[in-house]
Amino acid sequence: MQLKILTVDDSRAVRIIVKKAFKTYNVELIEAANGVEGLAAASKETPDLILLDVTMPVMDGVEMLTKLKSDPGLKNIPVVMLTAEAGREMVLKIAKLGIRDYIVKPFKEDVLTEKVGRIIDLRPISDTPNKKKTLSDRCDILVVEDKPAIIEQIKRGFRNPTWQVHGVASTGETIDFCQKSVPDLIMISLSLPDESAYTLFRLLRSNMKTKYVPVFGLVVKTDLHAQQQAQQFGFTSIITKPIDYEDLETKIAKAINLDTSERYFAFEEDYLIVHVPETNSTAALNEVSSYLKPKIAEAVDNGYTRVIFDVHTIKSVNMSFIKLLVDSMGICKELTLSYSLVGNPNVASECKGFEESKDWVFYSSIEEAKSRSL
Amino acid sequence: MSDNLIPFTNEEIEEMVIEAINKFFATMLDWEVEFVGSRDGVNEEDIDGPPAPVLPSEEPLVVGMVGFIGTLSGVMNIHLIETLACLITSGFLGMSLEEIEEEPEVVNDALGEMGNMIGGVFKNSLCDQGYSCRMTLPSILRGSNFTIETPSGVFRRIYDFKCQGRLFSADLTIKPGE
Repeated sequence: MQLKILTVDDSRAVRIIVKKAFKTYNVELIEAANGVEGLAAASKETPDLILLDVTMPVMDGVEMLTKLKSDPGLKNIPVVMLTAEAGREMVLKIAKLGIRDYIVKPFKEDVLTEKVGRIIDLRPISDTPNKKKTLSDRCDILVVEDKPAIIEQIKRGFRNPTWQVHGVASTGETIDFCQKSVPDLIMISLSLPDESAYTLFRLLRSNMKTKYVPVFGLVVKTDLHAQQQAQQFGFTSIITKPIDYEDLETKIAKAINLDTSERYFAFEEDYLIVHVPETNSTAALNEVSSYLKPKIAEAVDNGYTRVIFDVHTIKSVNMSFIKLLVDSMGICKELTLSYSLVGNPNVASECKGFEESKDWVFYSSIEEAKSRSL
Repeated sequence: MSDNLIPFTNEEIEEMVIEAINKFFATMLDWEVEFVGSRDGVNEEDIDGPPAPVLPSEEPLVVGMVGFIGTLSGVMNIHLIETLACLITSGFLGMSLEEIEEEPEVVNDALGEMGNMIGGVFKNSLCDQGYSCRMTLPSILRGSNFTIETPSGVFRRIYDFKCQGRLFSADLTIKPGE
């Protein structure tokens, strides 16, 4: 649900700056130029928070606040004063009326979002489901590790060229990096000196900009104590060294809500081609499975009538793999789509050993499957 | 000449003005500002004629004006050449110079708020030292080759600054309030 913030300020410049400060957050900004307009907008929109100036024509901020607090329907809306008035008497007078915070102009945009973020659950736009990133979008991964060799290894480990790995060695460098640009994901080595990984984690979670950025802990497989401690702290996931990059990529995709369907689904000519991943691990098959229904529905919606399941890279067959294909075929039948299988002799032979797949017929290539289905 | 008109020395007032200017530019624009110097607001040599412009320039000027009323009352005017006014607006509101050119009235909004913020910091310093006062709504003055005159018996001093390679001035008038 999109939050609403009402900014009441006679200065259009301040309203522009406020809008700019919240542009990366999932909030709707409502504007009013004085207390009268502000009260009307508050009644109509019931905002989640009001930013209120003091000195305004028609009705000033103190009068608006007084009226707001005497209205049973509006009195619980949190109010943050945003004003150049910082005289002790004025601040005390306003504080007595009941406000949540007081920001004195001139102000840093970060201070504004930070203070507002302590009152309402501000979320960056990228966290909202309608802005899902895909594999072709740039993804910035910040690795906090004091061993440069590990950072280099991670840089080389990812298959996706749009994933940019940035390396920093300390808490200070991490904070500086995040001030300039917020990464999509942060990986922190749990073996940083003086347990600074945990201090850094707390700092990241207390900062508005990085509050919702997934944070992975990076640790040697045998250090169970650190893994347990990181889980208790609330790290999004724990990655063990030596790193299994396929597993790491799957975890990252899940953590940042990345749409990885293009890795497995392609629309070619009249066909929807489903490429089952080479290593048919449960995690990878679950990932394919999560896209099955929406992708097949998309195919039907766009007039496709044929589906090819390409499993030719699979080295060995297991029950998760059989189940995925059985489910997929079921969806195709339900939607009256024709389907064919492409596989290697080994897969074909192993499938004969399972009751569910003993009658499956495999073509040796996508081209053969296409020509036979004509 | 104005030392006895208000309960502050020239140095104390200067410090408050510099703080107000620096706070605005550092917080809202992340810019460094150089204090060039200060001078009396009334030119003794021209005492019988019209006073000289605060900021002599061939270019049109924009002045952001804000007042304060209370134990001490006065006006803080920020005089800028139009080019600098546009640069400040651009940095302040995050707009490009092209966008500002298409919507020139936004400069008035920005300069009005700049005056409000600078005047606010200055006024708050006065309040913190026991001289309570309230701010007035800001206004903008535009034009070329004009002077602003004040009645006698008030403290007036002009503080010159430089940023982005251009001069600008803070013109302060104060008198004891009612």
